[in-house]
Amino acid sequence: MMNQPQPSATPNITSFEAQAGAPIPEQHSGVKLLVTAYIAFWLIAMTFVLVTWLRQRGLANKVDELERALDRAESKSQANDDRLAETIVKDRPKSAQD
Amino acid sequence: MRGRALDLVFGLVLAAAASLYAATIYVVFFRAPIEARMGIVQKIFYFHVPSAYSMYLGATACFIGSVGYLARPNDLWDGLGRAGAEVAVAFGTMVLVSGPLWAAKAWGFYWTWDPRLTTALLSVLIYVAYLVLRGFAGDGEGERKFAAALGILGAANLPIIHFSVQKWGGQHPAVITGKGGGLHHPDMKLALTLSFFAFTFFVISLLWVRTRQKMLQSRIDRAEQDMVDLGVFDEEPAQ
Repeated sequence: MMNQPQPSATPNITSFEAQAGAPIPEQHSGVKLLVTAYIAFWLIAMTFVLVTWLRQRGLANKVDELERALDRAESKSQANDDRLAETIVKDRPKSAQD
Repeated sequence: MRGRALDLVFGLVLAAAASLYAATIYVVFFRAPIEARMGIVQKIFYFHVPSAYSMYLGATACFIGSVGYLARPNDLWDGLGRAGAEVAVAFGTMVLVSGPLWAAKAWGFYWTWDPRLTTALLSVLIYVAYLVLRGFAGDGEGERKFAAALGILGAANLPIIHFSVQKWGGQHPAVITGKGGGLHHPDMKLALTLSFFAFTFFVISLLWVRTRQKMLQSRIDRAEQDMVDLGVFDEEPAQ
């Protein structure tokens, strides 16, 4: 893609503005170049948006994972508390239980 | 309440970007005349120049975030710096792809080591280096500060890109000058103006989303680390 300059074949355009003079000879198809540029532009823009969306989904998954870990820890802690309460009740003298 | 208002503003910015893009495409392809000498390929200009301007916007955001982070380290500044670098790379790539396609027709070759082309390529490479550093060197305080310094260095290149044409000449046209953009037909001016606005709103929305994602990512990483420390979570957080 990166050809070296060819001075003899170089149309001397140093402006984007409307030019006077004869049209540049058709070395490359203008339509093809334009379509390629626009496809590349939208492809890059859409890739950026897609990557952003994927990262957002990744963050949501991470939050879900942390929430599940918290739930697991909470139920484990609850089970420990229940076991502890059961042990205390079992170990108390019968008269105190009545 | 504040979060809802911000979401509403974000929605409006995104809607403005989408409608302005639709209007730009209509004016570029159905109203702006085909330039006599370069032909239809001149229409690349309506997206190429605003892409370069968007790269400047991203680089400026990266610079503000980097300076802010060095002055007052927090997730907001760090997130803004990183989001700015991503935007600068994305739009810089658009510039580097669309420019040679225009040049193929206008100059007869795709690339030359002209001052503006070379400095623009260098600038994109600096922001690529920033992102590679952030992506692979971890997310510690030292890495963040080093990246912030790189963000400031990248911004120093922006005026060099802009004034390189005036200072050193070269093949690349001086696009925005004191005499105006050089577009004489009103529809050409309208197309370029609409495109500038569309790109501005699009860049704002991208910076917004990416900065908020980075801030959220930092908070999640810290919460995860706290949970690992408390023994609630088994896995070490990924750096």
